[in-house]
Amino acid sequence: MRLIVDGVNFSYESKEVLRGITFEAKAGEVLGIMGQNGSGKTTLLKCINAGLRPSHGVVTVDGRDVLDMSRREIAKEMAMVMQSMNMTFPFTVYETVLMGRYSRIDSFSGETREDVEATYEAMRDTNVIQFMERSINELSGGERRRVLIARALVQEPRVLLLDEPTLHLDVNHQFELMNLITRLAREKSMLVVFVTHDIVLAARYCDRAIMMSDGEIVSAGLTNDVITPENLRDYFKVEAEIREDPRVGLNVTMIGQAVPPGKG
Amino acid sequence: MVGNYKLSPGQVFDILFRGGGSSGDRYILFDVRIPRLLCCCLVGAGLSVSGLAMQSLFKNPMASPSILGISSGAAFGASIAISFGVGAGLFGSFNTPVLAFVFCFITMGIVYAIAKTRYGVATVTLLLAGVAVGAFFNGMVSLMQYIADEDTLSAIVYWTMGSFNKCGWMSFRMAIVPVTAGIIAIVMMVRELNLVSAGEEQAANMGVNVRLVRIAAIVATSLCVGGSVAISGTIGFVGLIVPHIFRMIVGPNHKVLAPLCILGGAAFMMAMDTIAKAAFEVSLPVGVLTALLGAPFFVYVLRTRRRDIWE
Amino acid sequence: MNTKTLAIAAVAVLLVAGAGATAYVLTTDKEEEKTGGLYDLEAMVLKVDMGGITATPNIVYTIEMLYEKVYGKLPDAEYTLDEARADTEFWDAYCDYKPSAVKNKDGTYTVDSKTGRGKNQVTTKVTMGRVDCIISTGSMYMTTIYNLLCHKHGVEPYSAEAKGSDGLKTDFQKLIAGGTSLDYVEGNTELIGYFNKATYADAGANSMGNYDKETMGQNIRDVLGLHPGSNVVVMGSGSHSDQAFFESTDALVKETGGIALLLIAGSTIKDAFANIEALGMITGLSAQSEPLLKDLQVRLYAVYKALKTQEGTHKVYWEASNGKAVSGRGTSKAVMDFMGWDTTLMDGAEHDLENLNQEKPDIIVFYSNDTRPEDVRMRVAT
Repeated sequence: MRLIVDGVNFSYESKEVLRGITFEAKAGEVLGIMGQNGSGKTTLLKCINAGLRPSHGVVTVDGRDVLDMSRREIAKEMAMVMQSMNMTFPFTVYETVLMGRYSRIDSFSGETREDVEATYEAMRDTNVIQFMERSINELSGGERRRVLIARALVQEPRVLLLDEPTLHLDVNHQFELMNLITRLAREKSMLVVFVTHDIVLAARYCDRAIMMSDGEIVSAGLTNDVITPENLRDYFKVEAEIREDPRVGLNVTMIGQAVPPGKG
Repeated sequence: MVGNYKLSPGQVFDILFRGGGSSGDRYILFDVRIPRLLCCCLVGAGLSVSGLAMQSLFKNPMASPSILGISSGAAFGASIAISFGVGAGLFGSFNTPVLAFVFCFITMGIVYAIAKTRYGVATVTLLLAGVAVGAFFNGMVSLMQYIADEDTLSAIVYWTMGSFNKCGWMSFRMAIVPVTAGIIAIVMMVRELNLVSAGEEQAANMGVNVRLVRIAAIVATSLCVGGSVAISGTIGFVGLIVPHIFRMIVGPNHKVLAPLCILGGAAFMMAMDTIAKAAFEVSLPVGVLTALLGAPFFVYVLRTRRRDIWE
Repeated sequence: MNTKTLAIAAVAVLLVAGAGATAYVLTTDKEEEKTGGLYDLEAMVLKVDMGGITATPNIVYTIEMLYEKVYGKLPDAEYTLDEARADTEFWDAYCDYKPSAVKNKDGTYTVDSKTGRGKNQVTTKVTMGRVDCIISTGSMYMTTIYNLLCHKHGVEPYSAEAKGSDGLKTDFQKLIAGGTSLDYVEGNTELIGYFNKATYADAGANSMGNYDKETMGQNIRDVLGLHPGSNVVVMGSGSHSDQAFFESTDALVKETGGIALLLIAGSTIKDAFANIEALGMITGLSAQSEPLLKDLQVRLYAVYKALKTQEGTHKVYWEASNGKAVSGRGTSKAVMDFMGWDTTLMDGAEHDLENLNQEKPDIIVFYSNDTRPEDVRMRVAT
């Protein structure tokens, strides 16, 4: 499986949000897209799953342009876990996860045993099965995020897109969630693309990384080639110390705000 | 199964299963009471299930079938038919129901056209367009009432209060096709409604063609509302209360909710109509009764479930 | 600086307004003679019985009343029907009606039942036997029948003698067997004393539009229970019904034992005469309705001749109890047209004081059953 993003531009009204985004990724990888708020990361995710239509460029999955695919076909290839999750109506965890099977359920026959089993499996994988009958609105932020990942998993996607998966979570839950995601990526040999502004987490969990600034890719490659003190100074405006640590991989220590050139 | 023509249960049984009763008894049962009951069922089911669809589409438990202003449009259509006899040349006696139905769809078209931009249709814009167009048509109805003479005024007012008093087999035949089509369409998209009601963008990510579902839900609602108002006038609150009550009882899953709304809506409307025509010395328009019961309920829901509505 | 100026200006405005209002209240309180509102028009204020203007004998009595209130007593001149008929200008305009009922050779009657109005009016010919009992909505049929029965019993309508006549009551109660709720009768006519609450088949409604069909069926059954074998008809106004309503309701009436549904429409003086004739004919009271009609026509002619001697015209503003002008489509306009008065203000619309002061009507008419307080009607109460 090969995801190719080729020369993607996107603009809202007259404002260009993405410019010439080009990269490739394949199954089994964990790809982190980093950037500060407003750098166009979320817009890029939406262009990848055809939620937004790029003004230039194409996104292909195994050579097929996503814009030529129906929503249902896309849903079988890619699942997306979004940042916010507001539910007006109190669906149960089970009902919510089962929704993910939509693209695989025949409109006329309804859900089969296979769909129900997939739902249970996803709930077990994400460790939410113990509160499957509870309303999603009663859950904590971390539990809710896991339910959404379960819902994405039952789509049986080859690409899992995540928008700021650890936002607003306690530190221990951030680790729990990222461990879960990377484990699933290996087990199910999915391509996981996640967007984050958290450099520490990205440094620790990504196989490869992309750094974005102002709608453009400014650095891409293996994680330790992308997360460098220079890049962080130039694009995140922070001074950081980076060293290899056998326990955590790449260890980033933030020192402070970068001093603008010419003033120090 | 009660009415102002006195028939004991025994007599009804006798008429139904043994072909007994006088011609008057039989006529009242077969040509007055039964078609009226069927009309109640149709309208109750149609309004409830389309109310459910609208609540899901707008992710707002306070939405109702009239939220897109289509009932107001229908009321305007009926008003011009009553006041000026518009359409009488083409549809004869049926100009009022036909114009109500037609204006229901015209309003729907206007609202959709207003809400449509080149980026698609935003649900909130759709809602606001519905409110604006509804207000406009309400104003037009008021204008019609203002310029109408006393007889016409009372006819318009009576129509807008909603009643099954004029419902016979002809009404049932007129409404059965559009309302049933609308109900079936909604039942066929319960799964999509589940996903859309949990979030449109996420529904799209999971493979739902949200644009298609939105149009289908709106057209189905217009069919239900158009068919209903054509025969009974505008009856408020049913489409709000019934889905809401059932959601509180069984949760938000449309696979369960839709059939319950159809059955419950039909039962609720039959009960309301029975109370409206038989409980008081004068027979009340049923729309008055549903509003009298509905308004306090609306307030109750607002007070107790504020979080759900605004979150 | 700016806010300060504004505040001062606001206070000044309030003070002036307050003073003005106080002065106004004080002066109006002191006034003995009523001024303000419609009083300032210095117009003549008349009251007209609502039941009196729709297709009943009262239409002529109302015209006589209007004449006497405005111009003084009618001249004593006596006219004959032949004289009236010879005056073709009068006769063609007001009396040469097209009968709405005819008697057939086999003793049955064919009556016009009308729905809709204006160009949308549809007429259905209904053939039926003589009517024994009527279930009617509105008050015009009962008023007409009452008049005919008074003639039959030789009593003056609404007189003490009429009120004491048991024969009249018996006949009236059988003929007007049900329909319009007695509450409405009580509030809108002088006839409540002639009814028997126990036997009257109350519709719980006052128009065809809100008459519950099952109640109608039950009313017919009750009337037949009280008067077995009778010919029962249901009557009401047809101007706001359509043909589909006529057909379904007609079927209901016939299936539940009635003989016909008659929907009557009338908006002219001619219609009133035709309807009186038809009502008399189908109820077997032709012997009363024919002389009554002749009498009405002669009396109408007398007013007509008297009006010829009057110079100048009047402008009339007729307001219904909803605060809006009476519309110019019904019998009320026909009456005012007969008087030769300007009816441009009878347009069904709401007229504010400014408009009325500009238009300056010199005759203001209210319905006698208008329950609004005098000050509200005359728009002096704020």
